[in-house]
Amino acid sequence: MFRFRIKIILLMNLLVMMILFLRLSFLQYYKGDEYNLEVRNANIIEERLEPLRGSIYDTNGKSIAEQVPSFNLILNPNSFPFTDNEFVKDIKNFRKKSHKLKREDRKKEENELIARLSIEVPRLLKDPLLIKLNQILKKDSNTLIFELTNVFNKSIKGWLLEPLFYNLKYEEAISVEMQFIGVRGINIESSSIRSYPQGWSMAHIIGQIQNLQEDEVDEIVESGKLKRGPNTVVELSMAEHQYLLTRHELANLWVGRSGLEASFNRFLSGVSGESISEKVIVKNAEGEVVPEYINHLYSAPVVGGDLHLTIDVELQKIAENAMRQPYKSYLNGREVVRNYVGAFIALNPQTGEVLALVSMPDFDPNALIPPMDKNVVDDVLLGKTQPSYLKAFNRVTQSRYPPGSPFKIFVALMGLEDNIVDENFTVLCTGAMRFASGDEYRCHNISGHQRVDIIKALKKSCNIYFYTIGMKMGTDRQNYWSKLFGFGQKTGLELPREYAGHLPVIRLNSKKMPITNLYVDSHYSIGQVDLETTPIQMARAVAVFANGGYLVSPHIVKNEALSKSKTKLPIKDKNIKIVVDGLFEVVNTPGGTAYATGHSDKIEILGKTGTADVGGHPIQKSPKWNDIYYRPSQSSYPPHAWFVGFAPRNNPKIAFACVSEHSGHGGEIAAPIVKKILEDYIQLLQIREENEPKG
Amino acid sequence: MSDIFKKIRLSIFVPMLLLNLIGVIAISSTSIHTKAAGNYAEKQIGFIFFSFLVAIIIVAIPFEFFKKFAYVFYVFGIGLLIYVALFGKVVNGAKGWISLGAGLPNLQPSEFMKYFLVLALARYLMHQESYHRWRDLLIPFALSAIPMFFLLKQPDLGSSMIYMPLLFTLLFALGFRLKKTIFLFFLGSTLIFLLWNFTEKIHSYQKKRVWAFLYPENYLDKEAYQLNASLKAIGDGGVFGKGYQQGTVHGFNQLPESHTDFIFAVICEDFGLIGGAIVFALFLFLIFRLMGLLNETKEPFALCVILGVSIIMFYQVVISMSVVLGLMPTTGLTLPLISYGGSSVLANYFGVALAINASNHDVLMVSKSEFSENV
Repeated sequence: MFRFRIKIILLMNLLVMMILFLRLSFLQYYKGDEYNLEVRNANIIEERLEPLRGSIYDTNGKSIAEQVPSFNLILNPNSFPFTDNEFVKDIKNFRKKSHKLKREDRKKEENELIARLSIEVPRLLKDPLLIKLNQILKKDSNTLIFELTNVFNKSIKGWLLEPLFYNLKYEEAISVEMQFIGVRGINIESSSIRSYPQGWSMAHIIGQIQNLQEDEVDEIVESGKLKRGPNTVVELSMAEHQYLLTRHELANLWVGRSGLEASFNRFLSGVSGESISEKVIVKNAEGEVVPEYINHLYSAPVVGGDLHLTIDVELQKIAENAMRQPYKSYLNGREVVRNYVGAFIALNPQTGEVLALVSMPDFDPNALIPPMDKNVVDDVLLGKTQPSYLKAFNRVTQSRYPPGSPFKIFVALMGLEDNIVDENFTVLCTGAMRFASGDEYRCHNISGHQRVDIIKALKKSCNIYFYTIGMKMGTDRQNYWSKLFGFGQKTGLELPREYAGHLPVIRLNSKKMPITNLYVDSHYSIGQVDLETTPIQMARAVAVFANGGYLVSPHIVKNEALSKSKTKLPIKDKNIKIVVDGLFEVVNTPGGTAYATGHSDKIEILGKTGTADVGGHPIQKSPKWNDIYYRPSQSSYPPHAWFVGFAPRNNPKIAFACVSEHSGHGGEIAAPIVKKILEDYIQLLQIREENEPKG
Repeated sequence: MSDIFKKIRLSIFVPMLLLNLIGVIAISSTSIHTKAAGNYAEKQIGFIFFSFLVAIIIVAIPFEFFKKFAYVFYVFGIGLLIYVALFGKVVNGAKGWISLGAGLPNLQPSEFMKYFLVLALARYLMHQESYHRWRDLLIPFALSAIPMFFLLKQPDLGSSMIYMPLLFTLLFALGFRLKKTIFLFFLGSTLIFLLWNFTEKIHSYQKKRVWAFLYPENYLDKEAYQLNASLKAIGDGGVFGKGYQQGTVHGFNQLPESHTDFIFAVICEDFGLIGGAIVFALFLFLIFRLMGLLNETKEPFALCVILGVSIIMFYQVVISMSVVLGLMPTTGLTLPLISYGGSSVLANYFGVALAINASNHDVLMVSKSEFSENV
């Protein structure tokens, strides 16, 4: 043996060990702090603290929307003690080793397990513990299978578990807790859920909440707005309080999709809070070494703001009831019983506050609180049960109705203001205007109203009188006045996707001069041209006559500034009075189109009926059919029935617009609805006054 | 009295027992220890006691026994490897264990094979003329390669890596021509390279381990996870350590194999650079003492045995530590005396006992053919 070589080997030993030791020192001395920070960061837990969503109240403080405590049932298939079930065991084994598998193998096994679900889950229903559970929950087996399949599906894929059932009743939750004490894999989670305590009411006002969809989440993630909060221990002291969400948290967020839940989503949501804790190992009092959480940052969530509406829930319900009664109508000569499809809106003419807003058909907003029933989604959102009458549309703000005769109210004023007519001007109505060319402009009374002045023209709704005004004014000038009354523009109501309406477009000839079209000019005045209005525009416009000539700002959320912001229109008081007189006679003197059906002894109603044709008359080019705004079906169906007005004459409290699609005459159909609503409302107000504490 | 002590070589067993103690402390600090799976630290203590007793017995056995039956041991080892290849239990992707039945720990033949090979090599190489010519190297090479073959079949790359370096260093120490040694080194490397690329015996995950070592950023989730966790744990310990059982990385189950392959990282996290330095010192001392045993005898077989055992001990420590420190890809080789594992502790005590036995064995007279002219 070479002594020398042995010495060399020993030297190499020493050298190598020194190199290793150097490496160790490098890691622990030079990079020690860096690694320490990295390890600490890996054990930091950031939690989002859910803010409470704000509530919505009516004008008297009644709760319309609120968060209520809810109990969700969570079942974890991985730990729930199913009795000796092969499938469950297979899933458990798979989950244990899945992280060691390659992606393709993992997917393959996942799919195999998922394929077995349809057979295995129904088998699981025989499990004694599940039977015991269902004795409390009392769900039918199909529901149970469906929900269990969902949960198992997520468990196989390793996703975060969702509750098996949401919204357990308090007694059910307690029973489950007590009967399953100590049983693993099942527990009750208390959370809060949206509730609309007024029940099946105000669907279009409230709107609907929903989870963010996949593509929306993707969009936010890609926009780079998803920045995580502080993520090093060093930055903890400089934490921002605005908590930005992770992708998973985004996907579970509820956002408003329609109605006030949507337009005030941010306001109602509040601001998330945040809690950052670090998991460390400490020695406790008994000298044991245990993991513990140290909290580094706690920022409380900011509760969402509450909305106080101008809506009076009781008036709203009166209106909804009135529009839910089936009515008799005539279709192709036969008498039929139908449900109203249409809208009713009542607002305070002095302030523009909306008191009631009804769109029919409607739905139960509670049914759309997630998780949503598939049938409800099909019915309400996809319109599968009644394809021509989509329930989700808000016909007060999103519709395109031809105004018909009620538009005469405004034409009357236009004529007076432009000095085309005055209170003494008369026209002879013989049933039609005949032209040399052979054209006929008809009045709805074939024999004619004989001599009419402006009051009588309104009372009887004589077309001929208004044709006269229209032909003299021209479309352009009528457009000018229409805009003044707020037509062709949004009212600014706080509900989303309001339709601004549409005014007739004047065509230009080759010399860029407007082409006069006598037909359009005249029929404009009876509201039967390419003119589209929404009920809320009508109500706002008629309110001008109820408040002495002001255009108010309709709003549904209490707002003093808006209540006071009204624009005085350049119209004379005496002209207003003339029109008002006319509106009075329509309802309150015999022969008025609304006298028979709309006259009431309990409250003085003023208004104008309308029978708006929708088929037969040529209509100018309009925006396309499958726009997002609702368009009632055009065919040879009966015309829409309108009734627009206010009540009472002195110190008017309500300006209203009511429309019922394809129902017939305004006087026959729409006026009775309004009469019923207003009479019930008066009664309600009287009861309230009596119940108010004296003094 | 002191004779007996000298015979038992306290200066060797004391560092070994100290290392064992450190190992037990570290094992009891890991999260594995607290799991319902079993009380690992206690089991390790049992292994140590048993191995110590076995070592005493081995030291007491007359040395000629080993000389006479050197090849028998080797064949026995090969036999175990064959048995394992046919009937072995698969652990962590390698078929390397024999189960001895309920209640008894599993046996890992690869741990023992190293020392059996030492016996065989020593037996063959103890004659001087047998290592100067190329063709005489055939047999030692074959002796080393056969176990490698079986080990790579399991597959256990880590254990098989020791055999060639063992052979080379042994040859080097015995006076083999330097140039030829280097040539042999390259030959061995080529062999490994060929095996690497052209056989299925080195599975893809072994290859992945190497890639993960070279490019850890790309494999953060799986293969490099262990490496990164180890580095973090070590760095987290700093100079003074975080305290017994208070290491965060292994405490929160973020370090795999914390009681076996990566036990050193646990020591580093709990006891810091100071703890690591103590371990280094103890190993260095042990290895130097083992080599110092060479002075006690002149008998060629004994010298070879002592040398072989020391080299094995050295390489095991270096390779295992390099893996933990992130200087080498994962091999599966355990840290002697500290890692949890009955076979590992027993085999190492066996080897050391052989070396001690060898050092106690001297001859007053040797025949010419057995005497190396350079001593």
